[in-house]
Amino acid sequence: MTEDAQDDNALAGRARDGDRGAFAELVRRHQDRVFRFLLRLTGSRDDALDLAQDAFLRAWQALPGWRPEAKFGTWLFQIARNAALDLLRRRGTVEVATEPAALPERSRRGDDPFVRLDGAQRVRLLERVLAELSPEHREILLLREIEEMAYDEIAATLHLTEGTVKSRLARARTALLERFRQLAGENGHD
Amino acid sequence: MTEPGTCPRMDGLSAYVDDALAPTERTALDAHLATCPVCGAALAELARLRQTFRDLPDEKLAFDLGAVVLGRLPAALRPVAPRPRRRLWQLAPVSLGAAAALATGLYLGALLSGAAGVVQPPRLAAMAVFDAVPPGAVCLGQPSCYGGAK
Repeated sequence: MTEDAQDDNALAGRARDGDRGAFAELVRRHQDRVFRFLLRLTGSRDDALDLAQDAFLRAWQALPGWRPEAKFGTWLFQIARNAALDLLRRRGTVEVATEPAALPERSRRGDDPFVRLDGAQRVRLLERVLAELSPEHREILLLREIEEMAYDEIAATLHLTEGTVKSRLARARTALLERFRQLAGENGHD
Repeated sequence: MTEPGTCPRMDGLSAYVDDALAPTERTALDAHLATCPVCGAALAELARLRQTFRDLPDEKLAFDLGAVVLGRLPAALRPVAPRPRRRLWQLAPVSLGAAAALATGLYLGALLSGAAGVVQPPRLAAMAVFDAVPPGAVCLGQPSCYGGAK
């Protein structure tokens, strides 16, 4: 466990004993990460803000059940992710992604959409493609690529085995690259 | 992991960029990549995808959410300290008391419900609604109460 994670767990222990100041400090330490994840997952700044507050309040209420063996940050992301999925389910926007984990078509053809786009175009396109991906693919890519979580942390957050994390990440990357290539072509970047 | 002339599925390359392959798998994939332009291109694409993720704007909250949440905590449930686990022997007095109460209840219930072998229906007290004598017996001795008297 890293030093940050140890500090988190010490604060969480105090918060569990009723120390509200310790909990507020935990919120400050994690608010940007949680907000960023929820923003990319839901695509809405307002929803992300509401969900972030909701996630922290849920965490406060659930603290008696938190055990120091679990990293507080991972535990918190589980709560935030569940809150976001609840919202997406209510809106009927959760679907199961089943794309095969083949090599991206572009790679087989030997050209690469990233090379032809400038940095700003790549970023805009990635944001658009991310928003179009299934939540299942979006969340795992966000946890790996943005939050830089290790496979075991992702597995704990999403309640998966590490083997499933590996295969789902591959499918998510394949789906993202395929769509990225399609949109790059539609936008006349090819 | 890979045989000569065959390309790995995306799983292998994806785990490769995450540095999540076992050493033997990584060595085998390195050997394959050295000779396979298709997989080399796919790997380069994955690396550029990662870089693009890192170029996404870093979204941050511009205020102290800790203070906001702190202000809302009183409305939320307060954490409850976990209840100490009781050992089995600590539950003995409670269990004995419960068993005694149950046994007493069963015994009394058996007495009341005819354990003696005869079930008696409950007795109902009949209420006399119309009596020969008016309430309070106020007519007793008054001729007007008996019709024929003038």
